[in-house]
Amino acid sequence: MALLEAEELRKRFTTGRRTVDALAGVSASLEAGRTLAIVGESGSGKSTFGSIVAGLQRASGGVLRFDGQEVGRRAYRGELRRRIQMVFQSPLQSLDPKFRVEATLAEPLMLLGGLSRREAGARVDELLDMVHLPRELRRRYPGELSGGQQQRVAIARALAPGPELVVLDEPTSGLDQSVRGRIVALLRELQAERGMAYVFITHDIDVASAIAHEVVVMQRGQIVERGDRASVLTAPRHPYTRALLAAVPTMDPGRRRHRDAAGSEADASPTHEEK
Amino acid sequence: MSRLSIQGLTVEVAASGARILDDVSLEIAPGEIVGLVGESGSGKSMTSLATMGILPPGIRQTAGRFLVDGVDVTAQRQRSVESRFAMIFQNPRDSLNPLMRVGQQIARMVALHQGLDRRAAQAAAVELLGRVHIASPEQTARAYPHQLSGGMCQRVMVAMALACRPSLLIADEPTTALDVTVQAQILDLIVELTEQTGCGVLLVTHDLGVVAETCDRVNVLYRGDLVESGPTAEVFSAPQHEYTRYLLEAGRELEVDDGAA
Repeated sequence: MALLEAEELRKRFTTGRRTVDALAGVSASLEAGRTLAIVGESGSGKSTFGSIVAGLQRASGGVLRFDGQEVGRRAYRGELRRRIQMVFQSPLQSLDPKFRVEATLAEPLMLLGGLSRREAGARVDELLDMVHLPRELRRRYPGELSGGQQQRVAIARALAPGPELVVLDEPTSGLDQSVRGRIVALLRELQAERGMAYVFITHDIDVASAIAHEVVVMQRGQIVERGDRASVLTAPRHPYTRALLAAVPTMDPGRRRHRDAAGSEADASPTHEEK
Repeated sequence: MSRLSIQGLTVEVAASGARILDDVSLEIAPGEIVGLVGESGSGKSMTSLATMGILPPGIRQTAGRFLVDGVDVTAQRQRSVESRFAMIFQNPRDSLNPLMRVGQQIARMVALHQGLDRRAAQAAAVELLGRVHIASPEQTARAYPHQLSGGMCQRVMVAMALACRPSLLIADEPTTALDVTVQAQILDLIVELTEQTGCGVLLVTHDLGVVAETCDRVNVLYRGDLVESGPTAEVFSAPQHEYTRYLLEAGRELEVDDGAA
């Protein structure tokens, strides 16, 4: 049985007279210990999918099952909160600026792991070791850490209660390229050690290809292509996937942009799209 | 003769004297796109702000000259329309006035730099929107920034830059906040306009893929020092400095990786 199963998942947002189907019937499944990358551009619905899986939003329709149990239509309670965790794009915004690292990491152990303050405090060093941060950082505030260190703290916080599924929404997007590679390596290492599954949401195809077992490509609330990593990213079938892959800059100066090519205006729709 | 020549630019934190840029020099020829790369905190954006003469409060330039087409403009950069520098930023919607229609914003630049009256400036604004490949320029001229997508806002910024007929366009992470397909279109546009106008472009980016595909030459900044500089193909194939090699490896790390499946 799949750990996570979405069947025709729907989410509709209404603002004034305008309705947007952020998810227009999305079906996907994920086995325990595996990584599903959800790749897409702004407005594709990838983050909406992730936040419904993480229990931060309710679906408007369809079925979401976690470990055989139907979820996604009401707030997560009890064990579910421990078993599904989330890591966000901006650690500086997702970490409490007034909590020291040790308080940030102890809190999920107390709330979800049932440990006392003293027991939780004793586990903090282990969590720092796990994400390869020096133990002396436990007394620091988030603002005193680099972006990469902050994201390591956010990952440690998500893993502290021992989740079986972690939703990662663009966890490497705000980081320098060199730091991005190290965070991806860390996530792979932690998965190998601990066996949790990842829903990995990204617009970055390089990152998806480095971490995913399976990939789905989303466009305007729908999945346009799915398959194992190699088939989607090396032999894409859907025109949108091909366009997406072709647009990614490669580090090859031999592949210069055509100097006579006029930038055609495919983004012409005068709509408000937030990245 | 270089479009822009930066000579010995040194920038410090006024209070502490800490060096942000140390003796940075670079040249941009007419029609040339020159990349400036480095990681967070390397001084890339400070270089572009210093060149524009818009360093933030508390930061000061302690040495350095700027020559445009051979003329020293170090003293007039902020005041003079003559310097003909234009800049586009990472977040185009934040760079535009949210309360003013975009056509009007472009028209103001046209009026200022080309001395046209209001009606003529408005017509010129619509024409500029056409030049940046906006499909319905009259309609878009009447839109407010919030009604446009990120890619459209960046096209508007490029149109505003063109309004001052720049000798030099500074593009500071112009596509970082955009989707990859839109990024490709904006880069194509920058390349095309560079060809057409013969202006020089300083392209500030952390993305080496963008540099590889668009820049004639590249400069690598590391903690305020320019550690490497040369034609893009040469720097990518035979980097001389250790830090450049490190950056290139970091960028390729994910590309060559094949262990996940």
